[in-house]
Amino acid sequence: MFQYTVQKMIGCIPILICVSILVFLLVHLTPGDPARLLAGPEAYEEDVESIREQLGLNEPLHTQYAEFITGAIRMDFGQSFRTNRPVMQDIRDRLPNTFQLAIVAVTWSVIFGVAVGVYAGIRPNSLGDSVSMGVSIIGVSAPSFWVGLLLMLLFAYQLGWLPASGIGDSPFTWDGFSRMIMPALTLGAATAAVMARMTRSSMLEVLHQDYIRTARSKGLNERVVIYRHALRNGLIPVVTLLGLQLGVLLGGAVITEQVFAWPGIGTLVINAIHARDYPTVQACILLIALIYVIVNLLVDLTYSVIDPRVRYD
Amino acid sequence: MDYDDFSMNPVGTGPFMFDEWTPGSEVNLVKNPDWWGDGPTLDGITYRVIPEAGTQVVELETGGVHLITRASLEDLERFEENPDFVVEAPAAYRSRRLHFNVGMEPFDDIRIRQAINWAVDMPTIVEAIASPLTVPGDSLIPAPGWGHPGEGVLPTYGYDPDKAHELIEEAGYELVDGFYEKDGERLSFDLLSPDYRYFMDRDICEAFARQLEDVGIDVNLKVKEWGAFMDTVQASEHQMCFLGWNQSGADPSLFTDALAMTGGRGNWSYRSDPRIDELCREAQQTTDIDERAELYKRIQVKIHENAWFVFVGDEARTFIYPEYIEGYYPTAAVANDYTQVIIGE
Repeated sequence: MFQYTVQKMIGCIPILICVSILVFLLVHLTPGDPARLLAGPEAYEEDVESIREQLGLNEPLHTQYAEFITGAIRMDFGQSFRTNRPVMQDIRDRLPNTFQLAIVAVTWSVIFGVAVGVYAGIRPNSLGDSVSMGVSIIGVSAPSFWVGLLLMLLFAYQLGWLPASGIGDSPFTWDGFSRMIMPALTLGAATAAVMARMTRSSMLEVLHQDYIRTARSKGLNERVVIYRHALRNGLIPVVTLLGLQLGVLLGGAVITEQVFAWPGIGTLVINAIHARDYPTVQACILLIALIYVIVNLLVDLTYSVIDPRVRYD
Repeated sequence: MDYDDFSMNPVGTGPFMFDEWTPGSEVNLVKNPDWWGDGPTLDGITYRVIPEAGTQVVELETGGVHLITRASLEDLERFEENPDFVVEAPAAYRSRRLHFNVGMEPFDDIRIRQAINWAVDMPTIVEAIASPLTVPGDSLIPAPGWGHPGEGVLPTYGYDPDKAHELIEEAGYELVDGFYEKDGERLSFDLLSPDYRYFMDRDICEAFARQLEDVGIDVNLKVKEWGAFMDTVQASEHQMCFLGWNQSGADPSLFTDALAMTGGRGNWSYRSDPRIDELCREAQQTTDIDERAELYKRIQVKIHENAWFVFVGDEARTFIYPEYIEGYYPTAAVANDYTQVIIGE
């Protein structure tokens, strides 16, 4: 497995180089002059030119890329055009916020999604199955900004139970935790719904396999059949999906963060794009790509834990 | 202390001192005990970053914040009817207008620029779409500024589609299937709008385009994200665009010198009039305020005659706060005075 992991990690290098070239070209070719946006429309042209010079935007494109990539190897992405702080410092400030939100969202959505999926999967076409799958369709289809605003109207405005937005000092205090509930529910809603649907279909497929019939004919308790034999095998596609969803959530859930004024990577990227803050956009996209690669590697490795037939020797 | 430390530790002489900045979340200010003036009454101020206007509204209504500066028109109307809240929208030094790019066809012909001004009922559009946050205007100098001579003093185009038809026909166009044409080419242009950079900008542009179509001018509305928008305008690639100009002070030169002088940094109509340049320079060098006011009046009349713009109006600043907050007096300037604010029960 060690050899497989090393091979996979080496294989990631060309992917990250391609991403770096792509993101560099995309941000530089997008219309919009960072110096002009920074100075504002009312600024004098001389001031705009001086900012352009200061930011190194007058350098040829290949020189700018070389500076970016050599810095990236050292994890130094330069100064943010917008905040004038090192980009890594801005990311370090935001990443823990995104992590805590993503982890809470994924945790509740996996527990809830898998439980509902198993429940529906073992009772196909029952009333419970129809209701849970109907609700999950709403979960998949409802846009997150709408879900977020509805939750806000209910829990903050009508009931007054939770603060409407913002982040607390620590997630381990009531203030911090209460501020996380609504964004985490919003962020995890679609994932929970997809998880439930995926688990249900996976369970339905597995429950018709011969080995399940064998297990039942041996007189095993139905609970053991479902949880030890069926669910474990049914989890492979669910884990694949989890990897993809986790990547999305860690990449910054832009809309949820905007709605709840949650200072995470998503809002950092959006603000950086609006301001054409090239170093921040480049660093964040590269970081998100890296997160995807690592999460998917972990997912690959998890397969062998769930299903011993999968080996990486 | 190097430059980076300096930018993160601002020093000033105001009633509040910088305390802490949490990027993307909030900025905290604390009372300056050594301030020379009266107050401040508050121990500190926290500025929270809340990007969504809807979230700002919920935060205000649930007591999460004491003051918001943005709200949709619907929310604004709702707050106005609610006695528990105070809505203030003081007119500010923020003018909004449509710029003709005078160097481009068909706007190199003054008759077309004038015709468009006659063809559109901009005050009604503004009243219908952007009131009360934008009030109709007749100059590039906002009405609250002393350089504006007051309502009804400056000449305006008014709404007269017949006059518009006359001028377009005088310019050599004839009506074919509802649209004007000259030498087989339709009288048409691209109108560039930002995407809600200014209050209701694209909606105003849509209504403007619709009214021009009624008189036979074909308008293609193009909405661009701000960065791309400014690129197009800076490169003088637009035919007509919606733009605003915000200033923190009331001096009319902040508007005329930038927007109307040759090479002015906001001269996005890319035009030049030596007489206006001369008047602007004279006003810069004059110290008597009455004489200056007279000079700025003449400048505004000249700008009207040149028909470089279609004036939209002056945008107000919005402040919504609970009625138990006392001592807050919003002004037209960008700086806010929080020194006498008292948060009651």
